[in-house]
Amino acid sequence: MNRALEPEVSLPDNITFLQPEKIQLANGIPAYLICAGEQEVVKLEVVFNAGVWYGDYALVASAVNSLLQAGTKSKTAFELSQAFDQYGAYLQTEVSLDIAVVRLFTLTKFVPETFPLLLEIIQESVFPKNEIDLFQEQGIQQLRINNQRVEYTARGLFSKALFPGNHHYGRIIEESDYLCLNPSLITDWHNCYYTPDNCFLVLSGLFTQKEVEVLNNVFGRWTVGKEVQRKDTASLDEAYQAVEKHVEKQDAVQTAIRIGCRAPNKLDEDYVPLMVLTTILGGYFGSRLMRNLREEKGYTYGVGCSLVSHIRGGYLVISTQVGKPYLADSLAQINLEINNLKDQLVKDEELSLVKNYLSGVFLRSLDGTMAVSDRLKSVVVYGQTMDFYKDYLQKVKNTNSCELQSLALKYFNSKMTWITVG
Amino acid sequence: MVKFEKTVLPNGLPVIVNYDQSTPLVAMNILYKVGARNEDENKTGFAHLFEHLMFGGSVNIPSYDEPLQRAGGENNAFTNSDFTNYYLTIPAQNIETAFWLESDRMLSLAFSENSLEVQRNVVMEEFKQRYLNQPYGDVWLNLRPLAYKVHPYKWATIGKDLSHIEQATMADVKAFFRQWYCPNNAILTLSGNITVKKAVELANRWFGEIPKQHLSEKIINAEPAQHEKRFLQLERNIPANAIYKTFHACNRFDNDFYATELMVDILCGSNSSILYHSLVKEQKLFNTINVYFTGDIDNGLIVIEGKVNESVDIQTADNAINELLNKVINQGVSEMELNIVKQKTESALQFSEMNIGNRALNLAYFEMIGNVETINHQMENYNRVTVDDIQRIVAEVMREQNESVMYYCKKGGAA
Repeated sequence: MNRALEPEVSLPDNITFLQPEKIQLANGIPAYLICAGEQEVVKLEVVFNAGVWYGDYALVASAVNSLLQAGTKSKTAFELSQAFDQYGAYLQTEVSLDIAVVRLFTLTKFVPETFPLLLEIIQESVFPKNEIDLFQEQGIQQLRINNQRVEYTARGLFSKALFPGNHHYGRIIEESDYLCLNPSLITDWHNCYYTPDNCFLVLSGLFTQKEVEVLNNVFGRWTVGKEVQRKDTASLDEAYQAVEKHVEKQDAVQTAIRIGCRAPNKLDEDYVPLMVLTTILGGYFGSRLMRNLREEKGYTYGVGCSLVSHIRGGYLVISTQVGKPYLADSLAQINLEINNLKDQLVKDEELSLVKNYLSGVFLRSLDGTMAVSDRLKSVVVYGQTMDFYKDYLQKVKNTNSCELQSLALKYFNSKMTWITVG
Repeated sequence: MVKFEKTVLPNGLPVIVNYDQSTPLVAMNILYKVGARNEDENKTGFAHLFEHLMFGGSVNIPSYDEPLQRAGGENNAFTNSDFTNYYLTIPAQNIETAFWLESDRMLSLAFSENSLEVQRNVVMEEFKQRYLNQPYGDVWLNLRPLAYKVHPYKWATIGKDLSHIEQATMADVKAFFRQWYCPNNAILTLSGNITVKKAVELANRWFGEIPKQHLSEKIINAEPAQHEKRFLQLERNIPANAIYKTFHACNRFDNDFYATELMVDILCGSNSSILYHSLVKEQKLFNTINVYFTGDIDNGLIVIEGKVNESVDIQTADNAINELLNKVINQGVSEMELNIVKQKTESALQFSEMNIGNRALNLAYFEMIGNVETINHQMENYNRVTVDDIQRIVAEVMREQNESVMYYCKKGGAA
């Protein structure tokens, strides 16, 4: 046996994955069903178009989402927590820039008990003053802690630079954003955005027709009195201008770096090849930035480059934390790696390695019901179906080095923002 | 229920396989039974530094990562006090690449001076990023030596001092490898689309010839019983005062292990649990409060940690925790409270079994603690726990004489 010889490898040209079934509940809510597996558990997600973007107040979306657990017309926060606990069910709430999610993990056998509880917290939530107070106090304390972290400060300044002015993607949270929350603001927002016509459902795990009937009997009967009018929030974008900024922190032993620019989201035809490009630069362990800054120079524990997609625009970002004495050279090295992408064609060997690596990532991202539900959500919010992934792998494979070079020239230009904190 | 088959190769390497046809992937996990607890007190942080060096090339293969990525695989590793764990997932058709890579680095490393030099720096930056450049970052660097006086759990996995990492030599690295990295001190597990037959065949082909080593029988010093309360106060530039209370608890093999896990969940596992509800919601003394059990192989710690509200005196907040613990010691917990945490545990176990990576890791973990069969009997062990067990353990463990408490305070704002 020759241990120096690498075993042959192959990767599939096409990937088959679980196909979600789409149904419509009696009241019109779209529901996606992804059924497979061996464990008798399910995850039910209710996804609302109720992300940070929609709020005129920076924290109203997070407050409403988080305070769904703070009590309903018939149960206190304590009673609600106990009610979910007694079935061993877990509740998660999550807000991103675009969407708000309420997520239930439960044993399949308790679906008849836990689905109604989930609807109860969405439909009959009340927002008691003491719970809002607690949300504010906990939030402000966490904010003070976060503000001591160089990477948190860098992230905020970076978002602000990329989405300037009144753009709702670029708001930096301050204590006053907590203090201005009040019961009527929260209740109004909840009434406006947590409605059956503003959501879709994803049920994944192992279940039968019986659980689907429960879903329809519970969520399919959810109605609200009158149709709500939601404000149009489409015209907030101001022209992006590159920013270069350093914030000095005397006590810091490392400096956080964030470098990047606006980039198209996943609906754009540049998206897939641009993802290949950012992967080459900093998207995996063997990437150019990891090799340079970590594996050759030992300046950092980790460095990455990623392409981030949101409904109303995306960006690409290089981020790391480096030892303070290494800041100047780290920036020079990042610049060098960017220039190399613009000046030289990516060699075939590196490109084919990255394509293979991305095929593996793609395969993992569609493995099992929970993974498929995450993929599904991330396209449905863009108005897409799982067909989005049909030729995805092919697009990755079709990317060539000339295309990558022209993308590097297009995006890594003078419009890059450079933020350093520490 | 995780179905598996176990084989032991002639060189002592256990190979455990969970075959799952429904996935196009295989997860491979290699656990080495060496962690920070096996380190010399003057060379701490070594198990973790060594984990980094495992990616610096092996005897026949210059790069670990490149071929794995070319095969569509992804990998990582972690080190804790008890063991060092390497894990990867890879498309099933390329699983041989994983056997090739993992067996070569078990056989021998490249021992490159340059890799040692660079990884020393990387680990020092990791130390800064996690422990020095974060608010509350050095809590465990101080809490461990307060709670443990003798046992190696008194130092953190990253090492107790940056100088230990700086001084690591190639001779140390080689000695460490010879002592701990061998088939009879490792566990190989696989979960996913690979049959038992194929897995065992490949394991024999790639790992079979790696020689068995004589294992060190160095005894780890047990932590003596604590007889009086310990106290430490630190001042740091932080926005909120915090309390950390630790209590010595049982080891992983103790009959009380499962009951101890349920007990911490009853105390503070959800918003309706005893401590959270009283201290955060009702009395409004704490902004956050958490209770957890470290669950290590040797005697672990129960930790209560909380951030105190701005206007609250830290001593008052601490007393309020003690009062609640005393109430549990005197009155016990209800059947309902116990049943709730059992139910939560059951569903958490089910969810954790969905993932091939978790399955591979859990199989290796249960093999390490003596019997891989236990993986499918966890719920029985939890179900055996009674309310009397909970009350007894709280009384035995959460005593003042068994406690080490740290007040971690805002600079200038004395407690």
